[in-house]
Formats: sequence, C-alpha cells, structure tokens
Amino acid sequence: MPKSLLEPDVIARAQALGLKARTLVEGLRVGDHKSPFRGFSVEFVQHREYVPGDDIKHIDWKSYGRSERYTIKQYEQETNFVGHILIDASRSMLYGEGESNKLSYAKLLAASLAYLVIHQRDSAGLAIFDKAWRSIFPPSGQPGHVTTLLRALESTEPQDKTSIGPLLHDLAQQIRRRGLVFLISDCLADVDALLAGLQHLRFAGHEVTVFHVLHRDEVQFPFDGNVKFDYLEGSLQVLTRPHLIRPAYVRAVQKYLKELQEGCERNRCDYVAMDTSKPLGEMLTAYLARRLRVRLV
Amino acid sequence: MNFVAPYMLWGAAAAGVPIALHFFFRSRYRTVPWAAMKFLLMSIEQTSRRLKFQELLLLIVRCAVLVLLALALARPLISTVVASGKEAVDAVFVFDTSFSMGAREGKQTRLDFAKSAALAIIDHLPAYSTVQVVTCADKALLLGPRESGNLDQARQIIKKLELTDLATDLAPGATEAVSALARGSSPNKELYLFSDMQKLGWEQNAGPLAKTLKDLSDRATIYLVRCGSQVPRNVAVLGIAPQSGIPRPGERVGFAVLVRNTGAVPVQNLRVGLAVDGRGKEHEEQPIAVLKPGETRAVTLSAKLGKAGLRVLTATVKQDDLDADNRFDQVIQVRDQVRVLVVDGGRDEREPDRSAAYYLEHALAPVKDDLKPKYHVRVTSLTPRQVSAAELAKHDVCILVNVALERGPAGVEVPPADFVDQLGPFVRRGGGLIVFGGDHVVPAAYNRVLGKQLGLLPLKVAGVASFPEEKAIQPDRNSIDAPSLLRFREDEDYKDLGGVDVLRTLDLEELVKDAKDGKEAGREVVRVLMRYTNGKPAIASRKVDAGEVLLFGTSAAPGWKPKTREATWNWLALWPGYVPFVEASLNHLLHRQTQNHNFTAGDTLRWHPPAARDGDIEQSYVLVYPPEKAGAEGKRVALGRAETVQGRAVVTATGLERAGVYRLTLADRIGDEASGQGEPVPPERRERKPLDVPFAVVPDLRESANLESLSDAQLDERLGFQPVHLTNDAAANVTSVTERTNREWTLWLLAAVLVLTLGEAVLAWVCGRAW
Repeated sequence: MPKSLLEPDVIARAQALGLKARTLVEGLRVGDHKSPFRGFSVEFVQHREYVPGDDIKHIDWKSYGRSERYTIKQYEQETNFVGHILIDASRSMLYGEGESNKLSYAKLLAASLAYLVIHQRDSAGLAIFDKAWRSIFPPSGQPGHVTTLLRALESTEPQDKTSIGPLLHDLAQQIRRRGLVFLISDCLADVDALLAGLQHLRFAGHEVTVFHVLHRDEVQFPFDGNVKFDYLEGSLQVLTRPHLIRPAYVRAVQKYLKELQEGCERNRCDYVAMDTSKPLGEMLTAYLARRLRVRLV
Repeated sequence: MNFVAPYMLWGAAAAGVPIALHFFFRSRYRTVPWAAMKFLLMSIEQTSRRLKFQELLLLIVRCAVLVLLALALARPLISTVVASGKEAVDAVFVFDTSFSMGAREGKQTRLDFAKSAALAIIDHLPAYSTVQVVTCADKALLLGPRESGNLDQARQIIKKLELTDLATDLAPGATEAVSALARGSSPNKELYLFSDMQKLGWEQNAGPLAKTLKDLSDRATIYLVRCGSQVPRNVAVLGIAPQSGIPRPGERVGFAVLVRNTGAVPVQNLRVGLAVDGRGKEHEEQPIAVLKPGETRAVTLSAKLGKAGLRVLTATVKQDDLDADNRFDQVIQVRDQVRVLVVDGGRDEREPDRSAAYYLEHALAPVKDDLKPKYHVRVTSLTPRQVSAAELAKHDVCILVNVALERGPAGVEVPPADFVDQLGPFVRRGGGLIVFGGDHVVPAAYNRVLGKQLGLLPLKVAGVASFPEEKAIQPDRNSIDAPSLLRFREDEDYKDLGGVDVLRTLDLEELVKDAKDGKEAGREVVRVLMRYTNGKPAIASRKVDAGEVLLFGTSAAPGWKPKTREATWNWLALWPGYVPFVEASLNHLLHRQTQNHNFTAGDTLRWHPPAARDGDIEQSYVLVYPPEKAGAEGKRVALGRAETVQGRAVVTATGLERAGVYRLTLADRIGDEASGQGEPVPPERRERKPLDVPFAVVPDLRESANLESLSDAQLDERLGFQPVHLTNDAAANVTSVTERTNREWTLWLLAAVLVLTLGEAVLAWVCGRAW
C-alpha cells in the first residue's frame, strides 16, 4: 500500500526538524524558502537609490521626507522549491533481505523525502531509472501528488543494469529551474561518469544530495565458507572462499567509497551514506540535522 | 625399494582423499545474489594466484603426509635385499671365545655376559627367525644349530659355550659369519659379534677383517655387543726357566717363574707357586707383595725332580680376575746324562789350553778329571777330521768352534760331508747346535752351507768385525732376551759380563722386521738373545723343528796371538761367569729339546715316536685331554695310527684349544679306542711298557699381553663404517629391536610424517588467514 512507505515515526521526526534548503531556490509559490530575487513582500531587507525605470510605487516616501532623496524599499521574497527525487531501480538494488533490502530502503527514503517536500508546500518530482529513465513524474506541490508518487514507487520492480552518469547529464539539460536533486542509488556504476553527471547538475545550479544506499554486507563482506556469488545484473557467477579475500575486497570498497565521497565534495554535493541495516529514521534525521546545522552556521 | 609389509602401500591411495575432499567441499557452497561484483572480481584478481598456490601447497602436503604414512606402515628396508614380505631375521651370533672373555667382573665372566645378551636377543627375534652360532678365537667354528630355525637348540648351544685358551682374531669369525649369512633366505640379516673388543682381536688381521665387515654391512646389520666394561686385574705367568744346572733325577732344581702384571692396576698379595707332575705336597710358593702394571718379575722357585724322563712343571699364580693365564705348564726332560760333542777347528795339540775346546770342556764339565766320567755332562772333544755322522748321533748337543766348513788354506781341517749333512736332521730331531766364531769361520761358506743348504743359520754372516782394544765392544746385559739367560741380566753377580771386551766378532746381519724368513706359521723362529753394546747381535737363535741352533758371534776362546797371551777375539773365556754362561747356553738348548712337548693353545701337536718304540706305530694312539675339574678323568680322543712323513712316523693332533697337560697313550681296544669299547688289542701288539707322553699346552699369552679394549669410536674408525654398538646389559635386546626398526626407515618416515603434519597445521593456519 502506498501509505506503507510513510512510516509515522519517520515522518514525524522529519517534520519536527523541517526541511530547510541550504541555498536559496527559485520557487513559484511563497514559502519558507528565501528567494534570491528581491521582491516586494513584507520582510524588509534594505533601501536602494531610485533609478529611472523603477516603479515609482516602490519609492519610500518617508525616507524621502527625511533625506530628500528617492530611495526604493526592498523586501526579501519567500519562494517554494522543486525537489527532484531520482531513485535507482536497477537489479543491483535487489540485494538484501526484508527491511535491509536496498531497493525497499531506497523506496522508503524517496517516499519520505517526497512527503516532506510536498508537506511543506514545495514541489516534488520523481524519476525512476536503471540504465535509462523508466518513469518520470514531474514536480508538483499538490497534496495528492504524494499519493501518485507513492503508487509509482510501490509498483517499481528492479530490472536491468545501472547507468547513472548519462542520465544525470540528461536531467541537467531537462530541468530549467534550479532546484534540489536527491539521487538515491547504490552507485554501483562507473564512478567517473557519475561524478561527471553530478558536476553537470551542479553547473546547472542544482543542489545535489547523493544518498548512497549500501547494504552492510557490501561494505564489510562478512561471508564464510564456500560461497557462490551470483551477479544480480548479469549471468556471472563466482565461487570463492570469501574470508580469504575479505581484506582485498574491503580495501577495494573503501577505495571506491573514498573516491566517490571526495568526488562529491569536490562538486559540492552532499554525500550521505545510507546503511540499510540502520533504521531509515535515524539516518534521515542525522542528514536533516546536518543540513540545518549548516544553514544556521 | 623393498618393504616388510608391502600390502600397506595400498594405504598410499589415501592420498586421493584430500583431493576428493577438495572437490567435495568445492561442490558444497551456498549461493548469494551479489551486486558489488566489481569489487569481488577485483579482490579475487589480487589474491587468486596466492590462494591457488596455497591451496596447491596444502593439497600436496596433505597428500604427502598420507603417502609417507602408508610408506612407513609398509616398513621399507634400508638394505638392497629382496623383501619376502615377512620380517623374520637370519642372525649369526659370533662369540669371542678367547680366554680374555673369561675375565670376571663381579661373579660373572665376560662370556657369561655374552651368553645372557645373546639369549635375550634370541627372545626378541621376530617369528620365523633363524640363528647360527659361531665361536671365534683365532679360529672360527660353526656350532649350529643343525636346523637354523631351531632357536631352542641355539639357546642350548649358547648355554654350553666354553672358553678356549686361544688369542683373539676376529677375522676368521667374520668370514664364517659371512658364509653362514649367505645360507639364510630372509632379507633381514643380522650379525651379532659378542666380544670384549680387545685390541688384539681387531689388529691381527685388521685389513681383511675390516673389509669383510664393511662388505657385509651392505647386506646385513652388524651389531657389536661389548661384553664387559672393566680392565681386569691380571697377572700372567709368562714362563718357567731353569736357573741352575741341568735338571737331574732326585735333585732340587731352581726355576725362574716369570710373572707379569698385564692389567692396569697394581696387584697385591700374589702367591706364585711351582709344582712337579701336579704333586701338591711338593708345591712351593713365593709371595709377591705388589706387582705394578707392566712390571715383570722373575720369582725363583725350586722343585724336586723325580726320576729321569719327561716331567711336568706347573707354575701358578693366584689373586686376579683372569684365570686362564694363571697357570703355566711346561714339560722338562730330567736327564741322567747329557752328551756334548765339541768340534774344535783350531785345536792345538801341543798347547791345548790355547784352543777353544779346552775352555769349553772345562766349562761344560767343571770338575776334576777323575770325576768327569761320573759327571752328568759327558764331553767328547774332537777335531773336524775326527767327527762323523755316527758320532753326532750319539750326542745331545753339538758345539762347532772355529770350524771351517769348506776346504781352505793348507792345514785347516774340515769335517766330513756326512757329518755336515747330518747336522740338519740332528737339529730337527731335537738336537742342539752351538756355533762359535773363530779364525777358520768363513762367512760365505757358513751362509751357503749352514744357511742355504741346511737352513740352520739364525742370521746371515756378513763378515768379521774387528775392534781395537781401546774401542772394544762389550756384551749388553740389558739386551738379554731369553728366560734361560735371564739371570745374567738380573743377577748382580754377573754384572761383569758388561765389562768383557770383545775384539772380534762375526758381523751378523739382522733380518728386517716382519721378514718372512724369520717366521714360521706366523711365529718367530729367529731371535736375538743378546746384543753387543753397539747394538749388533751377539747371540742369535733359530728354532728348527724340535731343535735349536745358537750362533755366537764371537769365539769361545780368547784366540790367543801366537806365543803371547794377548786375545784376538775376546776375553770371555777368562770372565768368571764363563762356566755358568756356557752351562746356561747348554741348558737353553736342552730345554728346547722338550719343546715338542710344549705347545701354545691352537698349535698342532706333532710327536715322533722314538726309535725304541717303533712297535707302537701299529697301534692307535689316544690323546687324553686335561680334566675339566680336579680329580676328574680327562676326555679321551682317538688319534688313530701314526702317519709316516718324510720317512718318520708322526702322531698328529689338532684342536688343542685348552691349556693344560695332555697325555698321549696307546689305545687298549681296537675299533673304539677312545671309549675303551671294541675288541681288545692282541697281546702281541701290546707294548710291554705303557706309553705315557705328557704334552703341556699353555694359553696363547698374546691375548693377555695387552688387555686394552677398543672404544666404539676406535672401532668405527678401523672399520670405516658405523656398526651398531650394543652393550651386554639388558637393554641389548631393546636396542637391537629399535635398531631393526630404524633399519626399516619406519621411524624416519614417521618422523617425516610428524614434521609434515606439523607443517601442514602451520601452513593451514597461515593460509587460513586473510591477507
């Protein structure tokens, strides 16, 4: 059921903290988010000298009375933002049992984000991909849009391989207005291509957050005995004794994670490692708290 | 490679188990769907070569452990013999039965130790093993058992083993053992040598012995079982020498009994005794407070002799650890009369006191002329022209003084040819011959006639050596090496012998050491009895069959210059000790005449019946052995009739391995002479006077001359390989079993299995760790 993706506990804690955009975004609606455009709203920001062409109705006559100079009063304009939620539904996301299944975890995360965004009167869109766009839901701030997105997530089944980089380029070209991009994926794809796509998005002015969803097994490799590893995204099968290669595996994974994390930092993207063995609420709360702290600072 | 239990090699198939397990465990796996295959492949790529190597190494080690275990259980043999599939052993036990094995350590002798060790080893031999027993002193004898697999019989043989009075020579025993082992069919062959490892036994035929054992070591395991660990306290009786006069009936005669401490510690409170014909009542004893190691002492004892004839002197010593050489028997001839023929080639009828015969006649019969016919030494003095073969036959001793053997300058007499020809047979029959130098002695003639033709000359005469008065040489008392002359070395009364000037002497050419010419059947026949101060031989001796020849380098007389009293040869005849010296020399030869009644253990008894008993030769002879115990009858061994060799009847007996007094007598029955059964000998063939000829057999004293044993390291060095050294204690059997196992490689292989197993554990631990 769509509502199953919305855990009350998760939502409650997320709402309590609020979703604060770190940067100013453009918005069509007045909301909690400040616009970079100085408008004529209620919250005064500063005076500036009148220049021909300005609407005279914005002249502050009280200031003129005091200083005999024409000044215009400027106000901060609050806007809403568009959150683009990108969720990886390739077969590699199939790993994990029950709640720790990566795709389930990703779906829950996506649903939580969508609900939060729409609940605070912003717009949220959803794009489901594997090696191509599988389905795209344009951003909307309508409360009923949550249901649409939840249904879409609920019906998503993993298939095909992952290819993120080209899709991010494609997305950067399609989205005209700056917004928030939430990438939810295990990122088991070409890291260079992925980072190039992120860079493109950042270049387009989007704030990008990468939710890197990994199962603990994929990091720690805690297997023993003889194990045949069956590749989820292909027909490859590898029989090995994992405990003998564990250090080499862990070294390779850590190198990859470090490379990805540094690439994100380099592109000023938020990188959030999501361990599916940990409760999503805890992980999301930590993320939002971190965002708020950044803002306050 | 050969195996005792080859069927266990099937166990090597277990080496397939690790391989099967490897594939079995590879087939047992769980499938995990996996997304991060990229990292998995990367890590496998980094580690796969190492893991494969480790896996292969572990597999090899595990397979090797199982293969080696199977090999160990199959008990491979180190030797090249053919495996028969059973572990039975063909063992040959060689027992050293020389008399040093009779040395006591506590209450047991070394032979007792050897028997105990051998019986213990037999008890631990594997089933179906065979044993053959060989005794070895200087001869080897295979005692059986008749069926080598009959171990009970082997035990009985071992229990009944007896010592001999022979010296040790292990070479014959080793050779016999090789033959005995060759007859066995088992691939496992073992030689056990039970001995005190006395140095003599390994030295007599060191080369052949080492080669025989080394060759054998390729086919058999050689165990040297050391019996006894202590050097025994030992005093040996070396001999009996008459000290005075010629033994005459009813006289009390002095004898020097030579005793020597051949052990390593002083022996105290010795008692040396002498008895005649075993008569205990007339036994005389002398104590010796202390005899130091290596010290030889001449103990003078007297014995009252009975009637004329062959008498047996028995010298004994008590209080040591080795009994065999504590008794020394010697047969002496007690004579009523001794007939001496003096042939003087330089006789001066006008002035007889200037000739050598004059001095010799007076020295041999130092009594007044009217008593000479009754004196026991009858001297016949003749010139070379007067002597004849018949005359020679009437005498016991012949003295040639200054005799030319070949015709030379005018006026020099030479003895007739028949006389010269008979000198050889005369000596061989037991006669004594003394040859003195002199002006008429031509070295070349002596070398040719007495040397080459007759074989009587002890040493080759190289020439005549002269010395001026101021550089005169003297006899060296300390060089005296004959029991009969010993008193001239030991007794201070004769110290003036060293001051007697010798101006001229025959230059006697000494034989090089180890020359065959001076030996007969390995025994020395030529000896230098006394030397001059310049080291040259003064008196040399040659034993020729039953007789002996004494060659004096210098003359029997001074060799006066014409019409002067200046000596040209020596002043010996004017030395106060001249008379006893001549008498001692005569005694020496007379003593020698009984040497065909005196043997060393191991010798062959050869006795020529005297002409007076020619009738005996139709009858069979019986040799009565020394009794086993005092008062018991000795074993009687039939010798058969006398054989005729070179025209002379001779009775021969071998196997005289025990010391003691043997008696030769005639069989009184035909058929089974030894046991007394069979038909009685017809009266006409019976001798009126019963035959009773004594023979004294003494231990081979080479055995106790040096009782030193070789250490294990010395034995290894001599042999050129390392045999298994065992001791006679109870651990002998355990050690041999252990050694047998070692020879099969089993322990080595098990050790390898253990090492590999430990290695596998370590390797598995290391490989089980992730890197």
